[in-house]
Amino acid sequence: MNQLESKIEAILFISGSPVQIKKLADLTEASEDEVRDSVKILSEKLSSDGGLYLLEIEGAYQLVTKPEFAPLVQKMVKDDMTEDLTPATLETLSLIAYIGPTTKSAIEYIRGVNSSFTVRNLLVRGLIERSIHPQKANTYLYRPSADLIRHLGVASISELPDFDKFQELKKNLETNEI
Amino acid sequence: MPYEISLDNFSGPLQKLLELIEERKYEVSAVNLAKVTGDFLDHIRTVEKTEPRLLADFIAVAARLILIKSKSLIPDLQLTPEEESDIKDLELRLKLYKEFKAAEEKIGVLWKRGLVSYPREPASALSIPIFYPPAGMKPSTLLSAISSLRETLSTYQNEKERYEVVNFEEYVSGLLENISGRISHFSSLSASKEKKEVILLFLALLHLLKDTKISIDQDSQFSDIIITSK
Repeated sequence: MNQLESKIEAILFISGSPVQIKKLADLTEASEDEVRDSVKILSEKLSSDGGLYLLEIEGAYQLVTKPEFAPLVQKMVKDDMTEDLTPATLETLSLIAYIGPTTKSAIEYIRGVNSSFTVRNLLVRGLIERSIHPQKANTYLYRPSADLIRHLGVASISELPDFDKFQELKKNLETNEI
Repeated sequence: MPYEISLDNFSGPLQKLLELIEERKYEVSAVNLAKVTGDFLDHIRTVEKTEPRLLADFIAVAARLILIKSKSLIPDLQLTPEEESDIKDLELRLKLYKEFKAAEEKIGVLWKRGLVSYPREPASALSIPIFYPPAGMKPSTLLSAISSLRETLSTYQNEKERYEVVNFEEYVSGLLENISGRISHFSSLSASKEKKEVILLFLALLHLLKDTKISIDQDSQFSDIIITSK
Protein backbone atom coordinates (compact mmCIF):
# COMPACT_ATOMS: atom_id res chain seq x y z
CA MET A 1 0.00 0.00 0.00
CA ASN A 2 1.21 3.41 -1.00
CA GLN A 3 2.40 5.52 1.89
CA LEU A 4 0.09 8.45 1.15
CA GLU A 5 -2.99 6.23 1.34
CA SER A 6 -1.83 4.93 4.70
CA LYS A 7 -1.25 8.45 5.99
CA ILE A 8 -4.72 9.51 4.86
CA GLU A 9 -6.26 6.45 6.49
CA ALA A 10 -4.49 7.27 9.77
CA ILE A 11 -5.69 10.88 9.71
CA LEU A 12 -9.28 9.91 8.93
CA PHE A 13 -9.22 7.30 11.69
CA ILE A 14 -8.07 9.74 14.32
CA SER A 15 -10.33 12.57 13.10
CA GLY A 16 -13.70 10.80 13.25
CA SER A 17 -15.39 13.74 11.51
CA PRO A 18 -15.19 14.53 7.76
CA VAL A 19 -11.83 16.01 6.63
CA GLN A 20 -11.51 18.26 3.54
CA ILE A 21 -9.19 17.30 0.68
CA LYS A 22 -7.27 20.53 1.26
CA LYS A 23 -6.69 19.71 4.93
CA LEU A 24 -5.51 16.19 4.00
CA ALA A 25 -3.11 17.72 1.48
CA ASP A 26 -1.76 20.20 4.06
CA LEU A 27 -1.23 17.51 6.69
CA THR A 28 0.42 15.00 4.37
CA GLU A 29 2.36 17.68 2.45
CA ALA A 30 1.07 16.28 -0.82
CA SER A 31 -0.80 18.01 -3.64
CA GLU A 32 -4.60 17.97 -3.68
CA ASP A 33 -4.53 15.90 -6.87
CA GLU A 34 -2.28 13.30 -5.27
CA VAL A 35 -4.60 13.17 -2.27
CA ARG A 36 -7.62 12.79 -4.54
CA ASP A 37 -6.00 9.83 -6.31
CA SER A 38 -4.96 8.18 -3.05
CA VAL A 39 -8.38 8.67 -1.51
CA LYS A 40 -9.88 6.90 -4.51
CA ILE A 41 -7.53 3.93 -4.10
CA LEU A 42 -8.10 3.85 -0.34
CA SER A 43 -11.82 3.98 -0.84
CA GLU A 44 -11.77 1.04 -3.28
CA LYS A 45 -9.52 -0.96 -0.99
CA LEU A 46 -11.77 -0.37 2.02
CA SER A 47 -14.93 -1.18 0.07
CA SER A 48 -13.62 -4.57 -0.97
CA ASP A 49 -12.40 -5.63 2.44
CA GLY A 50 -12.90 -4.90 6.15
CA GLY A 51 -15.59 -3.33 8.30
CA LEU A 52 -15.00 0.32 7.36
CA TYR A 53 -15.46 2.45 4.27
CA LEU A 54 -15.08 6.05 3.13
CA LEU A 55 -17.96 8.47 3.06
CA GLU A 56 -17.70 11.50 0.77
CA ILE A 57 -19.49 14.80 1.22
CA GLU A 58 -18.61 17.78 -1.00
CA GLY A 59 -14.92 17.02 -1.16
CA ALA A 60 -14.58 15.94 2.49
CA TYR A 61 -13.99 12.35 3.62
CA GLN A 62 -14.98 10.45 6.71
CA LEU A 63 -14.07 6.96 7.85
CA VAL A 64 -17.23 5.12 8.95
CA THR A 65 -18.48 1.61 9.59
CA LYS A 66 -20.10 -0.16 6.64
CA PRO A 67 -23.91 0.11 6.66
CA GLU A 68 -24.38 -3.66 6.80
CA PHE A 69 -22.83 -3.67 10.28
CA ALA A 70 -25.40 -1.19 11.60
CA PRO A 71 -27.31 -3.80 13.67
CA LEU A 72 -24.04 -4.94 15.24
CA VAL A 73 -22.70 -1.44 15.92
CA GLN A 74 -26.05 -0.34 17.31
CA LYS A 75 -25.58 -2.84 20.13
CA MET A 76 -22.71 -0.62 21.25
CA VAL A 77 -23.65 2.94 20.33
CA LYS A 78 -26.78 4.90 21.09
CA ASP A 79 -28.42 6.62 18.14
CA ASP A 80 -31.06 9.25 18.66
CA MET A 81 -31.35 10.15 15.00
CA THR A 82 -33.23 7.09 13.74
CA GLU A 83 -36.55 8.48 14.90
CA ASP A 84 -39.27 8.45 12.21
CA LEU A 85 -39.68 11.32 9.79
CA THR A 86 -43.07 12.95 9.31
CA PRO A 87 -44.40 13.15 5.73
CA ALA A 88 -43.53 16.86 5.51
CA THR A 89 -39.96 16.41 6.83
CA LEU A 90 -39.40 13.43 4.55
CA GLU A 91 -40.64 15.40 1.53
CA THR A 92 -38.42 18.39 2.32
CA LEU A 93 -35.42 16.24 3.21
CA SER A 94 -35.62 14.27 -0.04
CA LEU A 95 -35.73 17.50 -2.04
CA ILE A 96 -32.64 18.84 -0.30
CA ALA A 97 -30.86 15.49 -0.71
CA TYR A 98 -31.53 15.29 -4.46
CA ILE A 99 -31.37 18.92 -5.55
CA GLY A 100 -29.23 20.52 -2.83
CA PRO A 101 -27.50 22.90 -2.46
CA THR A 102 -30.79 24.66 -2.96
CA THR A 103 -32.79 27.59 -1.64
CA LYS A 104 -35.90 27.62 0.50
CA SER A 105 -37.78 29.31 -2.33
CA ALA A 106 -36.98 26.42 -4.69
CA ILE A 107 -38.18 23.94 -2.05
CA GLU A 108 -41.36 25.92 -1.56
CA TYR A 109 -41.87 26.23 -5.31
CA ILE A 110 -41.96 22.44 -5.67
CA ARG A 111 -43.83 21.71 -2.44
CA GLY A 112 -46.34 24.53 -2.84
CA VAL A 113 -46.29 25.25 0.91
CA ASN A 114 -44.34 27.40 3.30
CA SER A 115 -41.46 25.21 4.47
CA SER A 116 -39.74 27.38 7.10
CA PHE A 117 -40.80 25.20 10.00
CA THR A 118 -39.83 21.94 8.32
CA VAL A 119 -36.44 23.27 7.17
CA ARG A 120 -35.68 24.56 10.67
CA ASN A 121 -36.63 21.19 12.11
CA LEU A 122 -34.22 19.41 9.74
CA LEU A 123 -31.44 21.87 10.61
CA VAL A 124 -31.93 21.29 14.32
CA ARG A 125 -31.78 17.54 13.79
CA GLY A 126 -28.51 17.96 11.90
CA LEU A 127 -29.81 16.25 8.77
CA ILE A 128 -29.16 19.31 6.62
CA GLU A 129 -26.72 22.21 6.74
CA ARG A 130 -27.00 25.75 5.50
CA SER A 131 -24.60 28.37 4.20
CA ILE A 132 -24.99 31.86 2.78
CA HIS A 133 -25.69 31.95 -0.95
CA PRO A 134 -22.48 33.17 -2.66
CA GLN A 135 -24.42 35.46 -5.02
CA LYS A 136 -27.29 36.51 -2.78
CA ALA A 137 -26.27 37.48 0.73
CA ASN A 138 -29.87 37.44 1.99
CA THR A 139 -30.45 33.83 0.95
CA TYR A 140 -29.36 30.53 2.47
CA LEU A 141 -28.38 27.42 0.57
CA TYR A 142 -29.46 24.14 2.12
CA ARG A 143 -27.53 20.94 1.56
CA PRO A 144 -27.48 17.37 2.90
CA SER A 145 -25.17 16.84 5.90
CA ALA A 146 -22.59 14.08 6.34
CA ASP A 147 -24.82 12.72 9.11
CA LEU A 148 -27.70 12.37 6.64
CA ILE A 149 -25.53 10.43 4.21
CA ARG A 150 -24.38 8.15 7.04
CA HIS A 151 -27.96 7.56 8.05
CA LEU A 152 -29.06 6.66 4.57
CA GLY A 153 -26.26 4.10 4.38
CA VAL A 154 -24.72 5.40 1.14
CA ALA A 155 -21.07 6.35 0.56
CA SER A 156 -21.88 9.68 -1.12
CA ILE A 157 -24.89 11.68 -2.19
CA SER A 158 -24.44 10.62 -5.82
CA GLU A 159 -25.06 7.01 -4.76
CA LEU A 160 -28.70 7.79 -4.01
CA PRO A 161 -31.04 5.81 -6.28
CA ASP A 162 -31.80 7.56 -9.62
CA PHE A 163 -29.54 10.45 -8.61
CA ASP A 164 -28.73 11.39 -12.24
CA LYS A 165 -32.38 11.44 -13.22
CA PHE A 166 -33.15 13.94 -10.47
CA GLN A 167 -30.14 16.04 -11.45
CA GLU A 168 -31.81 16.40 -14.85
CA LEU A 169 -35.00 17.56 -13.15
CA LYS A 170 -32.95 20.01 -11.14
CA LYS A 171 -31.60 21.53 -14.36
CA ASN A 172 -35.19 21.79 -15.54
CA LEU A 173 -35.99 23.66 -12.36
CA GLU A 174 -33.07 26.04 -12.76
CA THR A 175 -33.98 26.93 -16.35
CA ASN A 176 -37.29 28.10 -14.96
CA GLU A 177 -35.34 30.63 -12.93
CA ILE A 178 -36.56 30.13 -9.44
CA MET B 1 -46.64 20.38 21.09
CA PRO B 2 -49.66 18.99 19.23
CA TYR B 3 -49.87 22.13 17.10
CA GLU B 4 -46.44 21.61 15.54
CA ILE B 5 -47.04 17.94 14.97
CA SER B 6 -50.25 18.60 13.11
CA LEU B 7 -48.55 21.30 11.03
CA ASP B 8 -45.95 18.76 10.04
CA ASN B 9 -48.43 16.10 9.00
CA PHE B 10 -50.61 18.02 6.59
CA SER B 11 -50.85 17.50 2.90
CA GLY B 12 -50.03 20.63 0.94
CA PRO B 13 -52.03 22.00 -1.99
CA LEU B 14 -49.93 20.34 -4.69
CA GLN B 15 -50.05 17.01 -2.92
CA LYS B 16 -53.84 17.27 -2.65
CA LEU B 17 -54.13 18.25 -6.30
CA LEU B 18 -51.96 15.33 -7.35
CA GLU B 19 -54.04 12.96 -5.21
CA LEU B 20 -57.24 14.19 -6.87
CA ILE B 21 -55.75 13.71 -10.33
CA GLU B 22 -54.27 10.30 -9.59
CA GLU B 23 -57.47 9.02 -7.98
CA ARG B 24 -59.05 9.46 -11.41
CA LYS B 25 -55.99 8.05 -13.18
CA TYR B 26 -55.62 11.29 -15.16
CA GLU B 27 -52.47 12.73 -16.68
CA VAL B 28 -51.27 16.10 -15.39
CA SER B 29 -52.67 18.59 -17.90
CA ALA B 30 -54.63 21.83 -17.87
CA VAL B 31 -57.75 20.01 -19.11
CA ASN B 32 -57.61 17.53 -16.24
CA LEU B 33 -56.82 20.25 -13.72
CA ALA B 34 -60.10 21.90 -14.74
CA LYS B 35 -61.92 18.65 -13.98
CA VAL B 36 -60.74 18.44 -10.38
CA THR B 37 -61.24 22.13 -9.56
CA GLY B 38 -64.59 21.54 -7.83
CA ASP B 39 -63.19 18.85 -5.54
CA PHE B 40 -60.18 20.99 -4.71
CA LEU B 41 -62.41 23.90 -3.73
CA ASP B 42 -64.47 21.55 -1.52
CA HIS B 43 -61.28 20.44 0.16
CA ILE B 44 -60.33 24.04 1.00
CA ARG B 45 -63.33 24.18 3.35
CA THR B 46 -61.76 21.35 5.37
CA VAL B 47 -58.36 23.05 5.32
CA GLU B 48 -59.96 26.22 6.65
CA LYS B 49 -61.10 24.29 9.72
CA THR B 50 -58.18 21.95 10.30
CA GLU B 51 -55.08 23.81 9.02
CA PRO B 52 -55.93 27.51 8.76
CA ARG B 53 -52.24 28.36 8.46
CA LEU B 54 -52.07 26.57 5.11
CA LEU B 55 -55.10 28.35 3.76
CA ALA B 56 -53.11 31.00 1.89
CA ASP B 57 -51.06 28.36 0.05
CA PHE B 58 -54.24 26.52 -0.91
CA ILE B 59 -55.98 29.66 -2.09
CA ALA B 60 -53.01 30.59 -4.29
CA VAL B 61 -53.38 27.27 -6.10
CA ALA B 62 -57.18 27.50 -6.12
CA ALA B 63 -57.01 30.90 -7.86
CA ARG B 64 -55.09 29.37 -10.74
CA LEU B 65 -57.42 26.38 -10.90
CA ILE B 66 -60.42 28.68 -11.19
CA LEU B 67 -58.66 30.45 -14.04
CA ILE B 68 -58.08 27.11 -15.79
CA LYS B 69 -61.67 26.10 -15.17
CA SER B 70 -63.00 29.41 -16.55
CA LYS B 71 -60.91 28.97 -19.66
CA SER B 72 -62.30 25.46 -20.15
CA LEU B 73 -65.90 26.65 -19.74
CA ILE B 74 -65.54 29.79 -21.86
CA PRO B 75 -63.29 28.86 -24.78
CA ASP B 76 -63.36 32.45 -26.12
CA LEU B 77 -61.97 33.81 -22.86
CA GLN B 78 -58.93 35.96 -23.58
CA LEU B 79 -56.20 35.48 -21.01
CA THR B 80 -53.32 37.85 -20.49
CA PRO B 81 -49.82 36.48 -21.15
CA GLU B 82 -49.28 36.55 -17.39
CA GLU B 83 -52.35 34.39 -16.76
CA GLU B 84 -51.29 31.99 -19.50
CA SER B 85 -47.88 31.60 -17.89
CA ASP B 86 -49.51 31.13 -14.45
CA ILE B 87 -51.44 28.16 -15.88
CA LYS B 88 -48.32 26.69 -17.47
CA ASP B 89 -46.45 27.23 -14.21
CA LEU B 90 -49.00 25.28 -12.18
CA GLU B 91 -48.89 22.42 -14.67
CA LEU B 92 -45.08 22.37 -14.53
CA ARG B 93 -44.99 22.50 -10.74
CA LEU B 94 -47.41 19.64 -10.45
CA LYS B 95 -45.36 17.55 -12.86
CA LEU B 96 -42.18 18.34 -10.92
CA TYR B 97 -43.92 17.57 -7.66
CA LYS B 98 -45.03 14.21 -9.04
CA GLU B 99 -41.48 13.36 -10.13
CA PHE B 100 -40.02 14.35 -6.77
CA LYS B 101 -42.57 12.20 -4.94
CA ALA B 102 -40.51 9.29 -6.27
CA ALA B 103 -37.38 10.79 -4.65
CA GLU B 104 -39.24 10.99 -1.38
CA GLU B 105 -40.13 7.30 -1.54
CA LYS B 106 -36.51 6.37 -2.18
CA ILE B 107 -35.21 8.40 0.75
CA GLY B 108 -38.00 6.98 2.91
CA VAL B 109 -36.92 3.42 2.08
CA LEU B 110 -33.25 4.15 2.83
CA TRP B 111 -34.17 5.86 6.09
CA LYS B 112 -36.41 3.03 7.31
CA ARG B 113 -33.80 0.44 6.38
CA GLY B 114 -31.76 1.80 9.29
CA LEU B 115 -28.42 0.77 7.79
CA VAL B 116 -26.45 3.59 9.37
CA SER B 117 -22.69 4.03 9.06
CA TYR B 118 -21.02 5.11 12.27
CA PRO B 119 -17.95 7.32 12.62
CA ARG B 120 -15.41 7.13 15.41
CA GLU B 121 -15.78 9.63 18.20
CA PRO B 122 -12.99 12.16 17.59
CA ALA B 123 -9.95 11.43 19.73
CA SER B 124 -9.99 13.45 22.95
CA ALA B 125 -6.64 15.01 22.06
CA LEU B 126 -8.35 16.70 19.07
CA SER B 127 -11.15 18.32 20.95
CA ILE B 128 -10.65 21.98 21.68
CA PRO B 129 -11.08 22.97 25.32
CA ILE B 130 -13.93 25.44 25.59
CA PHE B 131 -12.95 27.11 28.87
CA TYR B 132 -9.57 27.74 30.37
CA PRO B 133 -9.50 29.87 33.51
CA PRO B 134 -6.87 32.61 33.07
CA ALA B 135 -3.69 32.48 35.13
CA GLY B 136 -3.96 34.02 38.59
CA MET B 137 -7.69 33.39 38.84
CA LYS B 138 -8.80 33.34 42.50
CA PRO B 139 -12.22 33.28 44.16
CA SER B 140 -11.66 36.94 45.06
CA THR B 141 -11.34 37.78 41.34
CA LEU B 142 -14.82 36.41 40.77
CA LEU B 143 -16.18 38.27 43.79
CA SER B 144 -14.86 41.63 42.63
CA ALA B 145 -16.22 41.00 39.11
CA ILE B 146 -19.72 40.24 40.34
CA SER B 147 -19.64 43.19 42.75
CA SER B 148 -18.83 45.62 39.97
CA LEU B 149 -21.58 44.05 37.83
CA ARG B 150 -24.05 44.61 40.65
CA GLU B 151 -22.97 48.21 40.98
CA THR B 152 -23.43 48.81 37.27
CA LEU B 153 -26.85 47.21 37.28
CA SER B 154 -28.02 49.15 40.31
CA THR B 155 -27.57 52.46 38.46
CA TYR B 156 -30.03 51.22 35.86
CA GLN B 157 -32.52 50.05 38.44
CA ASN B 158 -32.89 53.59 39.73
CA GLU B 159 -34.01 54.83 36.36
CA LYS B 160 -37.76 54.60 36.07
CA GLU B 161 -39.29 53.91 32.70
CA ARG B 162 -42.10 56.12 31.61
CA TYR B 163 -44.96 54.44 29.84
CA GLU B 164 -47.83 56.07 28.14
CA VAL B 165 -50.79 53.93 27.21
CA VAL B 166 -52.89 55.05 24.32
CA ASN B 167 -56.17 53.44 23.43
CA PHE B 168 -55.72 52.87 19.73
CA GLU B 169 -59.40 52.52 18.91
CA GLU B 170 -60.20 55.80 20.62
CA TYR B 171 -57.31 57.45 18.89
CA VAL B 172 -58.48 56.18 15.49
CA SER B 173 -62.06 57.31 15.98
CA GLY B 174 -60.85 60.68 17.30
CA LEU B 175 -58.65 61.09 14.26
CA LEU B 176 -61.46 60.14 11.90
CA GLU B 177 -63.72 62.75 13.50
CA ASN B 178 -61.00 65.34 13.15
CA ILE B 179 -60.33 64.73 9.47
CA SER B 180 -63.79 63.67 8.28
CA GLY B 181 -65.30 65.35 5.28
CA ARG B 182 -62.16 67.17 4.22
CA ILE B 183 -58.80 66.76 2.59
CA SER B 184 -55.82 66.70 4.96
CA HIS B 185 -52.09 66.60 4.46
CA PHE B 186 -49.91 64.25 6.43
CA SER B 187 -47.35 67.03 6.88
CA SER B 188 -49.83 69.29 8.65
CA LEU B 189 -51.33 66.45 10.73
CA SER B 190 -47.91 65.40 11.94
CA ALA B 191 -46.47 68.91 12.35
CA SER B 192 -44.97 69.65 15.76
CA LYS B 193 -45.63 66.13 16.98
CA GLU B 194 -43.23 63.81 18.74
CA LYS B 195 -41.81 60.87 16.82
CA LYS B 196 -43.91 58.26 18.56
CA GLU B 197 -47.05 60.30 17.95
CA VAL B 198 -46.21 60.47 14.26
CA ILE B 199 -45.84 56.69 14.22
CA LEU B 200 -49.19 56.33 15.96
CA LEU B 201 -50.78 58.70 13.47
CA PHE B 202 -49.35 56.74 10.56
CA LEU B 203 -50.60 53.43 11.97
CA ALA B 204 -54.04 54.94 12.54
CA LEU B 205 -54.15 56.15 8.94
CA LEU B 206 -53.19 52.68 7.68
CA HIS B 207 -55.96 51.28 9.81
CA LEU B 208 -58.51 53.71 8.39
CA LEU B 209 -57.28 52.95 4.87
CA LYS B 210 -57.75 49.24 5.50
CA ASP B 211 -61.30 49.90 6.67
CA THR B 212 -61.79 52.05 3.53
CA LYS B 213 -62.79 55.01 5.69
CA ILE B 214 -60.25 57.21 3.91
CA SER B 215 -58.38 57.23 0.63
CA ILE B 216 -54.73 58.12 0.33
CA ASP B 217 -52.75 59.72 -2.49
CA GLN B 218 -49.07 60.37 -2.85
CA ASP B 219 -47.77 61.87 -6.10
CA SER B 220 -44.23 60.65 -5.85
CA GLN B 221 -41.83 59.04 -3.43
CA PHE B 222 -41.35 61.09 -0.23
CA SER B 223 -43.87 63.71 -1.31
CA ASP B 224 -46.66 64.73 1.03
CA ILE B 225 -49.43 62.21 1.66
CA ILE B 226 -52.89 63.53 0.90
CA ILE B 227 -55.71 62.04 2.93
CA THR B 228 -59.29 62.27 1.75
CA SER B 229 -61.96 61.28 4.21
CA LYS B 230 -65.30 60.09 2.91
